[in-house]
Amino acid sequence: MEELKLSGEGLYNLMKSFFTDGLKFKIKLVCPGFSMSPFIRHESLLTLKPFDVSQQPRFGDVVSVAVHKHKKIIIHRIISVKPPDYLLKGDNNKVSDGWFHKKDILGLVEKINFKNKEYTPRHWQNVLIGAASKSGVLNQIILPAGRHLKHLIK
Amino acid sequence: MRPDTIYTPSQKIICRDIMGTMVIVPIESGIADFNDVMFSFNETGTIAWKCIEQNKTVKQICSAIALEYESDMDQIEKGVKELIDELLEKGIIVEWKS
Repeated sequence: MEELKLSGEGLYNLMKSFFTDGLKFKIKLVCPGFSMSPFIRHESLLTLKPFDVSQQPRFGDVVSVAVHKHKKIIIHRIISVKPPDYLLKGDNNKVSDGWFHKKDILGLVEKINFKNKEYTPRHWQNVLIGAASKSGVLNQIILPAGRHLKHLIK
Repeated sequence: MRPDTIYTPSQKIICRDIMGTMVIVPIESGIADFNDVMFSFNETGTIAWKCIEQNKTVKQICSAIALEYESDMDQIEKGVKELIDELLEKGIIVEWKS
C-alpha cells in the first residue's frame, strides 16, 4: 500500500467520482492559485458540499466545476445564470471562464479556512461580489484601489 | 489471523477506482479530507482489496492472488498478512463479526 497525493487529472477524476455518484460527503481541499484572491487566498482550505438534486446554483455562489476538456477542476464564482447554464469567473481574473452546464458544477464552497480562521460566506456577500465582478468594478476599481491602499499603509 | 477471518472496509474510508487505481480516502465527520493522506494499492493489493470488499476470508484472498500470480502459497500468505496488518493499523478495515 502506498501513500498518494492527487492533483491535476487524478484530483479531477476523484472529485467527479465523489460528486456525481450521489455520495453525500463534503470535501475538504486546499485551493491553490490567486484567481479568487482576495476573497479566497492562495492555499486556503475549502469545504465543499454537493448540491442536492432540487438545489440550483445561485448568482454569486463559489462553485467547483469540472473542465472536461482540460481534465481539471476550477473553483470560481457564478456571475451569470441562465439555467441550466452558468457563467463563471475568478474574482481576480479579467475575463470569464465561459459557460458551464449544471451537470459540470460539482459542489458549492461552504466554508473558507485561511491560517486557521474559518469563514462562512453569506449569500448577500456573494451576490455583492458577483455583481462587482460581473460589472468589472471589482477588477478595475475595487481590487486596484485596495492594493494601492495596502501599499500606502506599508 | 485465522484463515477463515473476514475483514470489511471501515466506515471511516471511501474507496474509489480512479483511472484503474483503487484510492482510499479517509472520512472524518462526514467530510472527505483530500488533504489528508490517501492510499493506493499495487496490483496484488488491488486483488486483496476487491476480495475484502466482497467479504471474502483471508484464505479466499490468498487463493484469489494465487490464481493470478505464480508464487508459493507461503509467500502469498505472508504478503496478505502484512497488508491486512497495515490496513488494520491504519483503521482502513475492521474484522467482520456476524
